[in-house]
Amino acid sequence: MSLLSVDRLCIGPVDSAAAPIVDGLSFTLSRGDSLAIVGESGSGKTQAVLSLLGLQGAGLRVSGSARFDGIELIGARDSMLDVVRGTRIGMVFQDPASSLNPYLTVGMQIGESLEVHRGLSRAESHRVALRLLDAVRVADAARRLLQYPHELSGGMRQRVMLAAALACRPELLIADEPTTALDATVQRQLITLLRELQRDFALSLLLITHDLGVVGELCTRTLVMYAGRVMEEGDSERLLRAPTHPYTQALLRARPRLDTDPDAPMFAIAGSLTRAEISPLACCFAPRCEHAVDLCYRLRPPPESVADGVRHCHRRPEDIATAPG
Amino acid sequence: MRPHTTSPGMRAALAALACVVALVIVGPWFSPYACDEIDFSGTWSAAPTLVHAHWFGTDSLGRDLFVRTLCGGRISLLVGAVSTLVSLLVGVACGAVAGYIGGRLDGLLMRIVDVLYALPFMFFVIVLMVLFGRHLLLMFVAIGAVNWLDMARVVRGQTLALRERDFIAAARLSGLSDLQIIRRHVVPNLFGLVAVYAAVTLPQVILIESFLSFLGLGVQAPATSWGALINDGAREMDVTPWSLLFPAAFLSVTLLLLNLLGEQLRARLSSRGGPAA
Ligand SMILES: Nc1ncnc2c1ncn2[C@@H]1O[C@H](COP(=O)(O)OP(=O)(O)OP(=O)(O)O)[C@@H](O)[C@H]1O
Ligand code: SF4
Ligand SMILES: [Mg+2]
Repeated sequence: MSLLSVDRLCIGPVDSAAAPIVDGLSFTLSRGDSLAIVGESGSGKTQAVLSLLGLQGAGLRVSGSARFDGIELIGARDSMLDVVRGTRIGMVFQDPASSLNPYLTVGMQIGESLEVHRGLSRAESHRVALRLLDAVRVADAARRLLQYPHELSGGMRQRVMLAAALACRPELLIADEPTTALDATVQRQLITLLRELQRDFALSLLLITHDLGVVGELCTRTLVMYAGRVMEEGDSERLLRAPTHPYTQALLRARPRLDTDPDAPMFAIAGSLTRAEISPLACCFAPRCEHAVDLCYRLRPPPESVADGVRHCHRRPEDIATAPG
Repeated sequence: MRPHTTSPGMRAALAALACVVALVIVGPWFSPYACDEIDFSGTWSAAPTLVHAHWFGTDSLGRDLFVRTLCGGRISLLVGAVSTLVSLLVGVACGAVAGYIGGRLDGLLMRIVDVLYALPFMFFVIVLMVLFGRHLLLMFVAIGAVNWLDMARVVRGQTLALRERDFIAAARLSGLSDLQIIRRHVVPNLFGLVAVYAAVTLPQVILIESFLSFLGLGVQAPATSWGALINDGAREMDVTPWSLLFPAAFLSVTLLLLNLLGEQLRARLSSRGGPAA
């Protein structure tokens, strides 16, 4: 049974014909499942998930459909959205530096949604906040509760934000690059924590990342985005092992690895993501794709169902299995 | 609030300011004379002397200038503080609401501010004073009502930037209403900016009051203020220079200290890269 189903989500500036930021994003997420959205910086991942909660950037228009447990989220009024957001859907925002109010204590920020959504008193919400800090493995929780954000390290802030997002026991947790700003050790701890939380809180997880290592460890499914469009979606394990899309292949090859010759040159995808040159009638990856053929510049590849998901590419998987000779 | 390190200059300015305020408040109790009491035993226009406890001398009516200078200071500082508070409250409320809610309301509020800006302010205050009489309360309102405009603009700009921060989005997820978010999340983050702005506004307002009183449009006799005293003193400058000297010195030193303080606060705010860094 699908918990969240997004259908042809589009986000674009209200007052210009500029290329859309998100263009036809579709996916479904089953209850208890986890989906990673992967894509390079600026591909529209953050705006896509924000729009599900009615929090898209100023001056952006959202169309399409997103149903959470049957409730339509796109275009819903704030009063409708408040039924699900913060209570049934929790979110951890991308920027740990700006996600906590510098003038409120950790306890007040974790307890805020409990006080508003659940009508708890300050004392009650503090008790729950204490338990939540324990749940996200913050040592010395009672003292932390009374501290201000600037007294916390980056990893600690992420944990506090997780605690705040989990306060109302959501069914779905959206985490926007929760590990990006952290060093490797702390990243590792946070991934372990997320996995434990997913189990303990029976969470469905929508994870945004550009770290393919995180994907394999946390999410059963992966969706690869480029320039606001879906490139490929499928089973994480299969997708990482045998990608069927040139962009996914390039991403995997561009990944820094420890098990290869350290002197070998790093692979980088040629060119850069420039929205201005993306045509609505072509494959958006064509200017940078090493497998591009004529058709790619003339026709936008339609979705093609494959065994475990969907891909958007004109070339057959077997044609692109090897680098062009 | 977290602890800040204060520079020695700032501490000195604060201490000096505290001295002035303390002197203005408690000073008159140490003198045997009341604010508008005429000392018939002493001489009129007496020079500063220790004999009759006329430490700053007397004016042409035989009133003790020490007491009058401090009593005038009470009024000047009170007008400054209350007017600054008025402009602060109105300015923050208007600016934060306009900046956070945005859209039509923002447009409307900011057009009102623009229109009020365009009015010749001194003229405005003077007309109010003439129409409604020289009432102290009116002075608070008139000065405060004009000074909130800058405050509203600055606060609105800061709010626009704050609105993009993720903790505001998080607060919306928590189900807080717009007004709750403004109260709980926006206003506290304006604190640094507002403190600086208040420190800059305070001397401006004191100066405006002094100017109005100097023109004879300020406080009503027998009450007095530094501006009114300077006006009196200027008329008798040739005979009793001290009647000009003392109130003028108090006013200048106070303004200087307030400006120094505002400058220090501003420097600290900008070096921290914003109020919420
Ligand atoms: N309010 C807005 N109005 C117009 N364009 C916007 C707005 N907000 C974001 N964008 C644009 O949308 C694009 C996608 O932004 P988004 O933050 O979703 O990217 P992202 O995939 O999350 O990138 P990153 O990995 O860097 O976080 C960017 O090019 C950005 O400039
Ligand atoms: S459609 Fe063409 S250009 Fe686009 S990814 Fe496939 S091969 Fe490359
Ligand atoms: Mg992002």
